[in-house]
Order: sequence, then structure tokens, then C-alpha cells
Amino acid sequence: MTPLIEARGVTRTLPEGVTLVHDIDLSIQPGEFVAITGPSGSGKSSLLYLLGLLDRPSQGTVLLEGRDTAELDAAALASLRLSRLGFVFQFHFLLPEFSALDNVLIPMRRLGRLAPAAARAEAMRLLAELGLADAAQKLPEQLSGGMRQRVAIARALANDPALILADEPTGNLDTRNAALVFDIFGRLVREQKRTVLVVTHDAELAARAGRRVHLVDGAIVADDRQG
Amino acid sequence: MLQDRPRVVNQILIRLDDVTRAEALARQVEARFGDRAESWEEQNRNILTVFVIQNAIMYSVTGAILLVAAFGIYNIISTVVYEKTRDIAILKSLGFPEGDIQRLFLLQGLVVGVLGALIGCALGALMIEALAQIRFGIDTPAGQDRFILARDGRIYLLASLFAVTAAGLAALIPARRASRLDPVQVVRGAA
Ligand SMILES: Nc1ncnc2c1ncn2[C@@H]1O[C@H](COP(=O)(O)OP(=O)(O)OP(=O)(O)O)[C@@H](O)[C@H]1O
Ligand SMILES: [Mg+2]
Repeated sequence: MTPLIEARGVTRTLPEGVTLVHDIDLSIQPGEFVAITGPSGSGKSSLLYLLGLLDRPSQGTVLLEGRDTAELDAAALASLRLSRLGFVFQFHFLLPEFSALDNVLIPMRRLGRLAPAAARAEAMRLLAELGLADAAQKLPEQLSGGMRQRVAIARALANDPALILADEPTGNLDTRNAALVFDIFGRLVREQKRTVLVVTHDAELAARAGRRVHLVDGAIVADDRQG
Repeated sequence: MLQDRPRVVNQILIRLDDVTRAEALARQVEARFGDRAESWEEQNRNILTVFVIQNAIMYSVTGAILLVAAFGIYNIISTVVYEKTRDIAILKSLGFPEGDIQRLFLLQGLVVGVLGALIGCALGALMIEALAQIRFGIDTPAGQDRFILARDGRIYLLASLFAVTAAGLAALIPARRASRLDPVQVVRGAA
């Protein structure tokens, strides 16, 4: 089966000479729940940015759904991010002036796949699915940290992405809310056959993923799958 | 100028329906009768030069004001771009293309420009009416005891056009900077 996303010999070196990750070979199949673990500074975020087409490799290439992204220009990469990828970061990164609902609608409106009424209904459905039906009209500042992060997840799901990339999505959450976020990811993978790639340095949470990729000093040192 | 002698006709003044033809007519008269003929433009050359200089000063001052205003708009949009750095990074990471971001801030600059032009035109019109109220209370050679004012709509149109263009150009620089912002740097920094 064609991997959903694949890194081939990916190295990222900054112009100043710092190497963020090197010689990364990683292939993720549709429906996988992958946790990327590793000590602080090991290159987890850097790898996520590369797989998320936010950054470009210095060497090697990233293939999304079998398609080499090295050839694509910035606009084409942006278009792929919009339609095929969903991001969740440690900080919720919601737009502060917009309600939860509008935040979810922003990528939908840009893509324009759904008519306005249908997009609204779909955004409400996503929010409700994440237990946020009553929060739709609220501004991010009126929500708790856990709720904000769930709005961010709803926004990541807005355009029905092939891959969800999350960088320490539970970094700012208490254990209960952190567990809830991982429950949601687990459900997305099990029930909706989605593919989730999540960076975390919480070993307990990482254990819930079906596959754990361990990074040290910018290189993959372990890649283990289990049940 | 005929003979410049006492007790004879020395000067003939010709009144024209069309003032702009005076110069051509004067040349014609000189060619035909050999007497010196002066158009009103020639006679008043000194005063007319003053008008030319006055116009030059006016346009320079207006240009300078426009330049200052453009810097103001450049500053406003730059500040907004700076304040919205995080939001720009969010939109870019979500997949909004650079063109969208650039248009967003360019549009904001143009809105500022159009609002400024509208307010400026209204203020200008008001000030013209205020000036129109002023009487000098003395007899001037031109028989005018008030300002000669231009109420030509084209002046407003031209000034507005310049102002909006200046606003657009001023906003373009920060708008481009915003569109080229690297979301990775922002996302990394905020984590
Ligand atoms: N712009 C930069 N300039 C210099 N060094 C950088 C830059 N960005 C990242 N680094 C370095 O690259 C390495 C990898 O960073 P990265 O953020 O990918 O690690 P990480 O595993 O996500 O760490 P953390 O767990 O702290 O989030 C780190 O040592 C970091 O200091
Ligand atoms: Mg990180």
C-alpha cells in the first residue's frame, strides 16, 4: 500500500549549520496512530514541520500520498496543507477575535469545498463530537485550556484531512484533559480510520499509540509497533 | 505702442472674447502693421511667473504631506503586521497562500487610504467654504475683496487618487513582509 506520508533520507540543516534532523526514513500507512517521542531538543518538532510541509528538507524528500513534494512551490504546499493535513500545536493557536465556530470555519471557507450552510453544519457537528456544542459561539478566551485544545482539534479536522499532525498537544493540559485529547485521537483512528502523528514526551500517553518512533539527536533510534 | 507722442493716439486696446487667443493675435498685429503689440500674458509676465512659482510650491508641499502620510500608513500597517505575527503564522500553517496574506494587508492599507481621502475631501471642502466667508475689506486692483477659490471636483478626484495610490504603495511593503513570514519560526517560538 502507498504510504500516506513518507520521509526518504530527510536531513534538515539550518543555514547557520545546525542540523535539526538527519537521514530520516519514515513511512506511515493510512490508519496508523504514531507517537514521536524523544528528549527535548531531539528534533521531534522539526520532523513534524517537515512531514507537515511547513518546512522543506535540505536533503531527501517527503512524499504525501505517493506524491513527491520537493517539486512543489509554496502555494502548492499551502494548498496541500489546507486540504490534506490538520495541525494541532502545544499552544492552541486559535484566532482570538473569532468564536470557536468561526475558528473551525476558517479553513473550511478557504477551501470552499462545502457550501456555507453545509460548512456551518459540519463545523457544528465536529464541535459537538468533541463535546463543545455549547461553546460554539464563545471566544477562545472564554474557554478552558482543554476546551481550546479541542476546538483546535475540531479545526484540524475541518477539511477532513488525510493526516493529523499534533506537536505536544497536551503540553499545556492537566492529566485529565491530556488523556481526553489522546482518547479523541484514539477514537479518530479506530472509528474514522484517520491517521494521527503526535509528538509527545509523555511515555504513558505515547503508549496509547500503535507505533512509537523514538528520536535522539535528530535521528530515529527506535521504531516499535504493538497492537 | 504707436508713436509715443503727446496729443495723439498712442495705444489701442483690443478686448477679445477668447482670452487665450491674445498671444497669437498680438503676433499677427505685429506682423501686419509693424507696430509693437503686447498680449496680456506678456504684459503680466512677472505676475504670471509668481503664479507658476506658487503652483510649484503648492505641489511640493502637497507632495511632502502625501509622503508623510504614506509613511504614516506604512507605520500603521507595519505595526498591525507585527502585532498579528502569530495570526499570520496560524493562517499560513493552516494553508492560506501568501497571496491571501498579502491581499489582506494591502486591502487594509487601501481602506485606510480611501477613508483618509474621504475625510480629507470633506475637510478640504469645509475649509474652502470657510475661506469663502473671509472679506479683505479693501479694494484690490482685480476688484476682488475675497479669496479666489477653486471648487473644481477634478482637484478632489486627483488628490484622492494620489492619496489612495500612496496608501497602497505604503502598505505593499509590510504586506509582502507579512506574506513571506515563516510560520515555523513563530510556531517554534510560541511553544
Ligand atoms: N532556529 C533555530 N536555530 C538554532 N537551533 C535551532 C533552531 N530551531 C531549532 N533548533 C535546535 O534544533 C534542535 C531540535 O529542535 P526541535 O524543536 O525539533 O526539538 P524537539 O524535540 O521538538 O524539542 P522539545 O521537546 O523541546 O520541543 C534543538 O536542539 C533546537 O535547539
Ligand atoms: Mg518540540
